[in-house]
Amino acid sequence: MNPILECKSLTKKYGSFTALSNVSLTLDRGKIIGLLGPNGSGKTTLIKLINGLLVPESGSILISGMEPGVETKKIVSYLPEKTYLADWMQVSQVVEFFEDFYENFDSKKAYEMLSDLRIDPKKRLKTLSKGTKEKVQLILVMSRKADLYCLDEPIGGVDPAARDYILNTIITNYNENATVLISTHLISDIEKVLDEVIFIKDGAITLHSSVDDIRLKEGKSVDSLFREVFRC
Amino acid sequence: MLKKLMKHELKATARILIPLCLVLLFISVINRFLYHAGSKEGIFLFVSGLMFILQFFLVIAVLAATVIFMIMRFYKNLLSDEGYLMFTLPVKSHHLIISKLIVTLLWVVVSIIAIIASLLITFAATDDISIVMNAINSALAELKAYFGGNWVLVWIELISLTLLSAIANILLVYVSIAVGHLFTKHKIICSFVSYVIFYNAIQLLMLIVLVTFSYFHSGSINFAHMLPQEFFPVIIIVLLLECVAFYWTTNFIFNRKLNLE
Repeated sequence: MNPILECKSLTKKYGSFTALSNVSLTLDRGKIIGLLGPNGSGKTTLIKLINGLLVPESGSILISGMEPGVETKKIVSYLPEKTYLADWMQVSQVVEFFEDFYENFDSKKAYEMLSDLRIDPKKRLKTLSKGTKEKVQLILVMSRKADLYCLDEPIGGVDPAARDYILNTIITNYNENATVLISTHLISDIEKVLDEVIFIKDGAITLHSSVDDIRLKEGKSVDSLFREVFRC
Repeated sequence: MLKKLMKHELKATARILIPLCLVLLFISVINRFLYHAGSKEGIFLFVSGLMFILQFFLVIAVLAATVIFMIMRFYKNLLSDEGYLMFTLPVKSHHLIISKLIVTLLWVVVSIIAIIASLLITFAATDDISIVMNAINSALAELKAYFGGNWVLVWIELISLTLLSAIANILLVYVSIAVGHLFTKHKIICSFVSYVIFYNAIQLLMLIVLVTFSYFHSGSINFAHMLPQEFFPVIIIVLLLECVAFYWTTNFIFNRKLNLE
């Protein structure tokens, strides 16, 4: 089976600013991978390129062997750092929307998670707090049976108790062939669920390694390695 | 997928536009009774005056809501945060444009029908209406004479002219918003400026085409002397080219130049 993601010398510029320069990266299936780096290092740019929201200046991206497009959007489940749901909609209407457009969406699972987190499906999104909206989005994204999940800062805005539930959801919900790419700077919270980490700095990848290797070779946690590498 | 996009687009717009049209029609029915009621003095005059003003403002509101929805649904749903969802749906970008275009076109038709119905309900069977109807009939008869009595051709050209100019105007708004989005700052002002520039460029283009056509056709650059059967087809072709250019540009920006905030 081909890798879920293959980037070859990917470069993305915004005007004169280079957000990603010459990034080559291959992600295997069935892994939970942390995309770690300080603010403005290119994490979101990489994720947007994978989701076809940006077009690279040069280089190529293949998702399960396909260029970003309608076919890859069917198998990639994306959680942006924005609240992207229309606020006049009820939670149940948003669930219906996802059900309509994504064949791999499981609304039963979505309703289960909503009730676990005590979110009333009849409520309009504008009446929910920012943190609750983020939970709704994460539930929608994780209720899809996708091959690749791209989660951009999934736990930034939610309380620590819900954080545990969400991380638990992430590790228990994806099938063994799916890969989860999580971008964050809250490393200590998610370190325990990660199989691999990618360090990204100034638009370039400085490290791609398994978490076990880091512990074995460096003799320290990902969190302390991150603090060392990105010391200001 | 186009059907599903249209379904959700309809849901998002109908929740405001349908109630607005229904309120307009309801007020029109009440005003019909007020209009035909005999006595017109004192408090009754005051109330019926207020009701007619309300009907007038509702007509404006229906038109304004249609235009505002056209702009807001395109800008907010596609190019603000909601765009993160819309552009990661497994649909082609041109389906996003077409779904919004068709639904807007539908609302333009519905709101015009609602407004005409409102006027007919309140004022039908009065002399004013028959004057208007006579004027329309005589204009159509004149047009028919120009076209050598060919009704089919008159209607085909009139309908394509109306439809194409509505589509061209909607796509002009879309392309202006898409072009404004290319700028990193002041996107809304840039959209507005793009609209003004495109609008005037199109007017100028239309003028040049008509003058040129008139010159080669009759040796005079005064196209005001041209007859409907001569300039209708020219305008239809220019509108068609406009639509293609606006649509293509919008789709190109969505596919290659998208950069959501």
